[in-house]
Amino acid sequence: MKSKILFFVCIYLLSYATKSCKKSEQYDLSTIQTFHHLAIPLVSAEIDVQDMLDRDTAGLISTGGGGELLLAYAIPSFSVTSQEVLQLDNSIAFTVNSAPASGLPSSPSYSGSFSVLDTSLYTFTFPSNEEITAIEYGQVTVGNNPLMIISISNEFNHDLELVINIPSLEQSSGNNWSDTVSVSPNSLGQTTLDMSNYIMDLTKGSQGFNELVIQFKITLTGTGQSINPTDKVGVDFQMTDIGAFDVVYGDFKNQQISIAEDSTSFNIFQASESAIDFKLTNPSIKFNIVNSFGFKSQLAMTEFYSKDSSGTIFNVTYDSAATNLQPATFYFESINKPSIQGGSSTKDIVMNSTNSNIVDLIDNTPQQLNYAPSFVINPNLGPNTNYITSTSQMTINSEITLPLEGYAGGWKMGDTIPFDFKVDDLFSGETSVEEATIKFVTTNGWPVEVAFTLLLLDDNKNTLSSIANDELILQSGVLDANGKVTDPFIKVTELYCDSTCVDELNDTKFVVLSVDANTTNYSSQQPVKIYEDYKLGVAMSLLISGRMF
Amino acid sequence: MKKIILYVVLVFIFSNKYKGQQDFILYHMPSIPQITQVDPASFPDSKLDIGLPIISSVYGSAFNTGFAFSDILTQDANGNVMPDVNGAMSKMRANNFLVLNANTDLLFVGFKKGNNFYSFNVTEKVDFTFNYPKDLIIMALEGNGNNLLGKRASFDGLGMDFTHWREYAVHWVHDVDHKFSYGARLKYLYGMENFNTQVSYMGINTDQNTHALSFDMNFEFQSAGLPLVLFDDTSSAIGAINTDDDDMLLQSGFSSGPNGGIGIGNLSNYMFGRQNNGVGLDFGFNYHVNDKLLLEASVLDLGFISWNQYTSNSNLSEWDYTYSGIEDAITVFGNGSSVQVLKDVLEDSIEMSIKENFTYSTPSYRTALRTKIYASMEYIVDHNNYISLTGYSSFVRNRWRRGLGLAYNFHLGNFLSATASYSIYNRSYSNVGIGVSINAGPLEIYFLTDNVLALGTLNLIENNKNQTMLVDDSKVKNGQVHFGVNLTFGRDKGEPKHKDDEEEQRAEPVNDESKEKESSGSPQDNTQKTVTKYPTGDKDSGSNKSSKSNLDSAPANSKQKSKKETTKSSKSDLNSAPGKSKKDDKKKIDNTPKILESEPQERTYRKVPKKI
Repeated sequence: MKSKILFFVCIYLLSYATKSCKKSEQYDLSTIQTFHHLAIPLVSAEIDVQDMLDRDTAGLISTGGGGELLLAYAIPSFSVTSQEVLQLDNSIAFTVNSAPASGLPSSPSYSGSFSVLDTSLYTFTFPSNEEITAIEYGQVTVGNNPLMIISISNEFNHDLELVINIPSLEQSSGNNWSDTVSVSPNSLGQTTLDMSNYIMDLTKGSQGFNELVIQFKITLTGTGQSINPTDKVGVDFQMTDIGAFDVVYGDFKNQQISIAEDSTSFNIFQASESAIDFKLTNPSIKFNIVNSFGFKSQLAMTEFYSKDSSGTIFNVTYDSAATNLQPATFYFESINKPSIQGGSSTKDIVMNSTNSNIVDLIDNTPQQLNYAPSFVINPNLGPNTNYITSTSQMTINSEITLPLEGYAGGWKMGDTIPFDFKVDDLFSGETSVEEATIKFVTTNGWPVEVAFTLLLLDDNKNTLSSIANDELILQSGVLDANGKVTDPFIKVTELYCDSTCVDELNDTKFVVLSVDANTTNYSSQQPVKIYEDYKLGVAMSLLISGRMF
Repeated sequence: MKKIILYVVLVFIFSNKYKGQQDFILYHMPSIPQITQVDPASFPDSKLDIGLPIISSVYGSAFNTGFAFSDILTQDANGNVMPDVNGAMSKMRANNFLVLNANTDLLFVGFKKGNNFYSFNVTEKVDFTFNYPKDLIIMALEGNGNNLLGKRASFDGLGMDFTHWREYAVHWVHDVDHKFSYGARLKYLYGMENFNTQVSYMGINTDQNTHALSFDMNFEFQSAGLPLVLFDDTSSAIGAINTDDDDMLLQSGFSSGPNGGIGIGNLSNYMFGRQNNGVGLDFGFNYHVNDKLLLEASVLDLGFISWNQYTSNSNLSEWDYTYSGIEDAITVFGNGSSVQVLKDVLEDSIEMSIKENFTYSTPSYRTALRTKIYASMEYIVDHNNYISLTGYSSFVRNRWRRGLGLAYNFHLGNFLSATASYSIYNRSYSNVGIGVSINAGPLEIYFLTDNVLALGTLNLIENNKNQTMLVDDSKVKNGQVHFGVNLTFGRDKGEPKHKDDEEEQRAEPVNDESKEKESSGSPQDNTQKTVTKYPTGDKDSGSNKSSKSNLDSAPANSKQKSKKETTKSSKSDLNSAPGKSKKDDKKKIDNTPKILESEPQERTYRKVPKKI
């Protein structure tokens, strides 16, 4: 009996337990809905100085000794050569006519002999009245040797001997050049001189410069033929390649040699949407001048101005003494001639905030800088003792240096870009996102603050929604007293997009991404410095919630 | 002893780590020959058992430690089913298991000889374990943007073990004086497919703000007998049977099927020709502490399989990778690009990185069987009612899994044996089991389940009929069924004849000895049931060796004393008739018709020695 009771008690308990554990509710799995929260990384980038500035400043970044950065816009170098300084004709020709029989009576037959001496001058002329005292020729290695060709025409019926002596043409030994040419009756004669290693001394004339002195001795030996009073002897001088000199000495006088106007673009300001309140506190333009001419010279700017995005011209002013800034034309300091012939002298000239208005120039966010340089030779009046060599030149290398040191504000940059990020197609046709959060995580090692605007546009570029409106996503790193960032600042910005916004996101075809940037404490005009080790970490991520599958 | 028992019970209850593939009900169904699958020391009460091919023992189970449907699903106001992430999180542990098991006896034959019982079986077995970390489910339910945001989603331990093998076993059990029995099963194992996860570390960390995904992984898989899977159609990844290689396919027992599928080829190569061999051992014992308490213990599946053919080893060495997004923001938004860019970049990046750290080889390897341990205490209420407490233990992927079951077993003659149980396992307290065995002549039909609550949870029939997808809102995490049909011979058929006459005869000296002990005045014996009255009027001392006899004798003090006594008498009759034939038994029964009526209560048995 006991066992039966026990059995039935167990059966009852079993059935009770079964019944109690079995709920009447059922799940209809066909109605199952998913609701996921998906965290997706979109963008992760670490932007260093090179990356940050590379787009607009490719090849322009330089690093100072302390690691500070500067933008260096190199202006194409320009130079002046000796050919531009001394406009010496490469070839000259002149004729000396002598009528030795002009004093003799006509004779049907002459068998005697007589001689005549004559001296002739050839004077070189130059545009700037240069006073050349000597032209020195060496051994020409490239091109043709300078030649002097003397052609003689004898119109007499008698033998002729011409002795030519050119005191202005000296050999290195000190002896001047002379030659004797015999010419038969009614014939031509010629003599040629390679002037290599000769010095053309142009001081033998009366004025002491530019004059080539030539002496003749004509001896006529009668052949028994007649003498006509009109018979004469003609001597033609031709000099070729006389520009192939080694050195030219003299007084080159005060000249100004102009170089064609040129311009340089400032790409860093090209993308600026609006004029930036921008001040680089220590910009400069550096001119490096190398002079191997044997005279003092001076660089001048006959034009120097900038244009901003609207085309407005801004004149650069300068005064080397920093007392009276003047617009072009202005002159820089003089450059001395080399201390030794064949050498060169170098001079660096800097336009900076103290001797020019270059700070204001940069403040105007110039997009182009125009300049027209010129050289002034012998800026001080003479007399001058100058020389030029065949290789002499004046070279100017210029660089506009913009140390990234200063402050800027109102720097707006942006673009409208195509957008095809339909969140409801993220995983499947069943995806229905209900809300989204866009996160920006910035680790800012720059002294820059950036506000971000994100607008959603439809097919016709009509604004659908604004996800971010001047949202500060980049907060400046911590600065020391010198304006250098010592610690980066990490900022997390979350831009929430509700269901309405998500719907608009699905219809978005374009987005306007724009940033409004300024340097730290821009309003207080706190200068900041950019160093080569600055980094900016930018991460963008998306958190979406809704039905995914 | 009581303290030890109490301690064991408390440890099981409060450790709350009840996981496993077990067969609690079968452990308490001694009338079913297949009990030796879990208790090799159980001595059958039939002389000959024949299992009908395939259907003699069909076992299937599904255990999920992580959650029940009601833990992870909820309904919103509109009746839509939604994932209940908080529920899932609160219910799951860091690591959870889904265990599927199935096996069936292709052949089973057993016979008794003397106090030995021998059997032979061929059993097809499939074992599947999927270990899923909690974070994997959270990731699947709600993604990485809520509870997993800003932390590492740990998939450590994620893995799968799968084995399909066949067991050829010889079993022997020996009974020693009905007080102690021990048995063992020696098994030859033939492996067909295996996949196992040797090393599994994986984590995905989602940064709180940047959402950067940091992966860390270290995997090692082994497989045998599985098709080759390629990376990018070029590099081997997992598996070894190249389905594009007709010769290999044929050798493996298959052939190229239509539409690029796989068909059946030389099937014998598959069924018998694989070079994957192993051995296994089951053993156990039953011991009567006294006439009320029976201790049982068994160790199952101690062994291994060596996998030598179509093997592969896939190793992803320690791999760390972080995907933070695309470096150029413009490519995300600009130029008409879409989110596909993100997916492509992520997939390509990961794939490329993984391939650089991935190695594939084809070594032989060995896998251990999942060894299981059963330990049980059975309290014998009376001849037909037993209450038992059974502990189960095994290791799954190096984790100790254990379960605890309390069962009540009732016998109604030789016709019906029924067991009800309540068990705690797989972190589930909703396990109510029931088992029924019905004998109709030599035909035995049985149906067991460790959790009747699971039946119908999936509403398979209803859903199939109505084309619906309804599941019950229940706490059920486990389901298990075991059923079969056997032919058993040599059992008593309602007559109070004892099946072990020969044994009793053999055991007579022991009885004598027991009698001697009894006569020596053992206090315990005297106080409990010292005297057994036989129907014939003979008296027999209640041997403490025989709980059965003690059971029979115990009711002697009850109000049903006379009836009990008749029962005892039949028992005693059995015990006291060593070497007598069934005819002899019948004679005795014929002489005591009243006793015959109560005889069915005597059917016990394997676990309770019959002989005093």
